Formats: sequence, structure tokens, C-alpha cells
Amino acid sequence: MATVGIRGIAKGFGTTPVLKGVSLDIAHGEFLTLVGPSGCGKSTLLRIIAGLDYADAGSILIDGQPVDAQAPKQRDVAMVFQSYALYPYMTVAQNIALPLVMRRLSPLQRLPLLGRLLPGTAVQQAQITADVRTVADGLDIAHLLQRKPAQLSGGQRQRVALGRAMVRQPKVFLMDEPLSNLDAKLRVQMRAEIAELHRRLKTTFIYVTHDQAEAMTMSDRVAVMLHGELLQVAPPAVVYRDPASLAVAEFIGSPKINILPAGLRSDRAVESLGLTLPIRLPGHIGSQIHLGLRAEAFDLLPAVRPNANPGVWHGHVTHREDLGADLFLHVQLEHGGHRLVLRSQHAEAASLMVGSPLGLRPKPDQALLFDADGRRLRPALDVAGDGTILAWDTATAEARQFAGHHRV
Amino acid sequence: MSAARPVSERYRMGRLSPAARLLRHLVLLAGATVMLVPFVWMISTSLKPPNEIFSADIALLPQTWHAVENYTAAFTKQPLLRYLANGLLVCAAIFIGQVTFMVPAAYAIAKLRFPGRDALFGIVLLALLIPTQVTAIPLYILFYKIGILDTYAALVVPSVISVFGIFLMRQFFRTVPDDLIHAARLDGCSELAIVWRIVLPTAMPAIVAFGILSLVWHWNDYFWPLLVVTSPELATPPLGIVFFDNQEAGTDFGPLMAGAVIITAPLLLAFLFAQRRFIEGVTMSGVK
Repeated sequence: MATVGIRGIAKGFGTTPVLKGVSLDIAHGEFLTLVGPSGCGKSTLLRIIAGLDYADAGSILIDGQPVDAQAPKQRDVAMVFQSYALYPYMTVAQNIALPLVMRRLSPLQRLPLLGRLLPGTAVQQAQITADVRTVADGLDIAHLLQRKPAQLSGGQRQRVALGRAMVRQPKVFLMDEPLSNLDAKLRVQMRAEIAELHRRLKTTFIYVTHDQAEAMTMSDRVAVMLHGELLQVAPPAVVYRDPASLAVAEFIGSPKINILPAGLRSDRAVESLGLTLPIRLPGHIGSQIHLGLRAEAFDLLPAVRPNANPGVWHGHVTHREDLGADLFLHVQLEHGGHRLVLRSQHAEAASLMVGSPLGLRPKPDQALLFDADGRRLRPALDVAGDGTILAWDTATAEARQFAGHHRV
Repeated sequence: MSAARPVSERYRMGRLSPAARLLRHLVLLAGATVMLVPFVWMISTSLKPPNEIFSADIALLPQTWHAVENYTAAFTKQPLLRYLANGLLVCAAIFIGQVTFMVPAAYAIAKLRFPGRDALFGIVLLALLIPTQVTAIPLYILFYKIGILDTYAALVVPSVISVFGIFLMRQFFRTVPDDLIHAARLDGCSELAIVWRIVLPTAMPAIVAFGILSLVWHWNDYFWPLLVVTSPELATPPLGIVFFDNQEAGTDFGPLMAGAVIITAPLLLAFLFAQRRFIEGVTMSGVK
């Protein structure tokens, strides 16, 4: 268990800045995920935390102590690599044992033949074997201990890599896209196992991924990175429901959030594509803004004659994606030809085929607004005309409360 | 041959006509003959009595077998076993020295980042171009000054740093994934532990290939031992063979050839023993 402090870390390769002054605090036992598209600097940041790479500026603290001058092995962190990085000619048992051998045995005791004759080696070796066994049992790989990595499947190699990281009980676990090389089914299974492992070990985990599903399902907090900067650090639910910027909203969420041009007609009316939403946003009258609507932020209505109902967008289905539990409809709006993706229920979309006309009404309480530069615009906490608090704000308050539990 | 056949089948059938394949084998056969004839003649001569060696007829097998006499003479007229032991000692010492120096050096050049690394590698490449004969005289003078001429050290020391070995290992180490080395650093290995525990075992095919080359080169080396060794008890096998020559009674070719067969045999055995690893090492660039 340890806290990790990241203070103004900057790093460039040549003239290209990779990290631009990243600061972040990670709590004892927290599962924090760094998520971002490839090339955003998240892996570099992880390597700097591990001590495998050097920052141009800034400092890393573990348990409040700066570790910048320490070699990787002194930092007491363990890392799981995307490529697993198992030692190919060692057996699984030797792979898992190596961190213990290097730490517990003296250089003399590690000598191939002579070492065995030295006093204490046998006892230490027995203890190491026992520890390896315990870890292997916990990961269900005890039957593989005598195999070489080449004889294992991807999932088994992943477990061995986890075992090698766990065996010396490090203060911090670093994981660099550990599931990227697994097939989709195994990835979902390993996701649950790693989350379970975190609950069991209660160690600080820093997990790097480009896969938002991994970020959303496993983490206490998600740190969204783009172009070497942290855009938002918050629990997954908050990042999804209350993104800090347009970039975060676009990166997190599958299918991608629908972004439409909008304008403010008055303090309490946002207009987009001929439709007015009752959202109170003081002080922006006349400016062009972006209206973000998640796939589930729509009510589906039967098709009516165009312009018969001013509170509804009209369009037709261009594509149907039936994923079993989910049904996504790709819709082209008649107004301006914008394309939207929306999540719908099988029951209500049963009659909607490619080409079918339909009406859409956005849910104003789920609308996300961004200014022209992509910064988030937050509607004033408002009481609607009929006296109920807008549901959107309730969701935000809920998320903030959730965030509070996790020391944001 | 139809295009619909699977690729593997087409390859098995061979893409050449029978006549072309025959020609190919004839060419290969001719090449193999040119390479093998001296060896065959060497073995043949080692089995013949002196009068048959100089007979005008070409005969592969002797009319009177003289093998026992020749091979006995090879071992008794000169201390051939001593030469073989010298050869083994010198080659082993050179190989151990070469591995000791080239593996860490190659690791540093391939995987560590430090100022001047590329310049250092440039120097290694440059050193590859220098023939041994160029450095022979300065080395000879140096060894004379420090007084180690005519010792085992004089035979071993100039060869323990092999720039070719450094180059070969560096090329191989570059294919070792960085993550493997990062993992080892996090697992608590020092840089030297990484070299010997993590990187070296992955490079075994390359080490074996290099070992064969080194063994062949230094076992057969005639030039350098001739230069620095004068005592017969330090002679390496090729040097020792020469002692069969220049006797007052004239060259005794039977025992000489028997001696040549005996000193060639260890190389053949070593190659056969390590053949699979050797070919792996030579062709490894295609695997990765």
C-alpha cells in the first residue's frame, strides 16, 4: 500500500513534447486508470513512475517521498507489460521466483552450484518455492509451474506475469495495457479477475489502457489523457455523465457521443436544428455552442409529418446494429443531414428497419453543452417551471457525491 | 501444375524440371568434390606406406595398409597429445575471454543509452576492418617489452576481445525486447545480472555459432602461434604438425598426414555436435 504523487511531470522526445506537466495524486489502495488514445503519453508516464524512463521536469513521490533518484528496483513497484515480458528460457516457477531470488539471496547465494552449499540458502530457497506456490495457487496456474512461457496460452502467460508482479508484494502495481494481446472474451474475464485481485491485495494499482471499457469497468478513478495532458480525473460514472470537456465526452462512451451545433436563444432556451431545449445557461446568448447527446439521451417517437411537432427531430434509420442486449440505430436527420447513433429498446424499435422514418426527442436533462473551444458549459442548478429539480442535475449531484467518497 | 494446388504441395513437387534439378545437383556435387578431395587425400595418405605415397598411380586405398604404423608414429615421434591439449587450452581460454568481454560490451551498445554509444559502435565496426596481420608486429613488440613472449598468455591475450563477437552479439541483443530488460530491472536485477541471467540465455544460439567460428579460427591459426611461440611444448596443433616436417631424414608424409587427420577430427566432431544450434545461430536473423 502506498500513495503515489505525480508532480508536474514533463517529458519530450526531441522537440516533441510527450507529457506537458502532469500532476496527479493517487491514494492508498486506489485503482486508477490512465486512459487515452495511443500516443497520448500514458505509457511514458507509467514508465517514469516505474523509473524505467526519466522525466525532463517534475517529481514522482511514493508514500510522500521523492523517488526520482532511485533505480526501478529500489522503488518497490511491480509492472505487468503488454507483451508479458516473461523470461523465455525460464520455467513459470523460475519466472515468478526471480524477483524473490534477486531480493532475498545474496550474490554469492545466487551462484549456480556453489550457492546451494552456503548456509541459509536451502532455507531461503524453500521459502521462495513456498511463496511461488502460494501465488500460483491464487492465480490457478500451479499446474503450469514447470512449463516454459512458449508452451502457454496468452491468458496463462498473463497470469504468470501477474504472479511475477504479485509475488514480492510491491507497494504499487503498474500495468501497461496488460489485456491488449488477449482475445475479446478472455479480456472480459481477465478484467473481472484483475479487479478482484485489486480488492484482495488492497494495493495501489495504476493501470494504463486505450480501451475505455477497461477503464470504466475496473477503476476507482479514471484519468483521461490527451496529447500529454490530463483532461479529467474522476470516477468512471462522473467521467461518463459529467465530462469536463468535449474531448473527454468524445473519447469516453461507446458509441461515441452525438455532437450537434447549437445556439442560445435566451437564458433558458438552447436551440439546435430547429428544436428548443429548456436549459438555463445564463450569459451566453448568441454564442455558438456544441450540444452533446449520448446514445441513450433520446426518446423515440412514431414518425409524424415533418414540422407537425416542433419539439421533435425527424429522420430515418440508415443502419441497425443489433448486439443482442443492445440495439443501436443510426439515424440521419432531415434537418441538416446530421447523423446520430442512438441506443433503443428492442420493443420500441421492432418495427424500425433501414429506411424507416422516425421522430426523436432529446432528453434535455441529459444534454451536455460545450462552448466553441470544447470547454464544458454547466447549466445553472435550476428548478423547472413545474417545480421539479431537473433530473440532469440530480445525476450530477449523485456523481459528485460518489466522487467525494473516492477523495477526488 | 494448376494454380489451385496448395502452396505447400507446389513446393514439395519442386518448381524445376527434372533436367534442371539434375544439373543443380551436378553443380553442387562438383563443389562438394572440390572441397572434400584434399581431406579424402589426407586420410588416404595417412593410411599408406611411404613407397605408395610417392607412386605414380592414383589409388584411394593402399595396397599394404600402413595405418597403424603411421598413426603410432604420429603420436610417438612428436608429443601430439601435448599439442592437442595446448590447442584445447588456448581455444577454451580464448572463448571464455571472448564471451566475458563481448557479452557485456554488446549489451551496453545494444541496449543502454549513454553519450558516445554510437561512436563506440562505429569504432567496433572500424576495428572489424583491421586485419590481424597489421597489429601483429606492434603486439609482438609489446609482448617482448612486457616479457610474455613464448607463453600461453601470448597465445591467448590478443584474441580475448573479439570485435566480430561484439558486433554479432550486438545485432542479436537488439532483437531482445526492451520490456524483458525493463521487467528484469523492476524485478531487482542489476545490469550485470541482466546480462548474465536474462540476456545471455536468450542469445545461446548466437553464442554457440560464435563459439564454433572462434574454435575453428583459433584451432587452425598458424600465423600468430608461429610468431610468438618457439618452445615445442607450447605448440598448438597446426604448429606441432610442422615439427613433423624439416626433420633431418626429410619429411615423413605418412605420420604427418596421420597427425593432420587427428588434429582435424576435433573440429569435425565439435561441428557435428553443435550443428543444429550453429545453423539456428547463423539463420536467426530470419526467425525474428
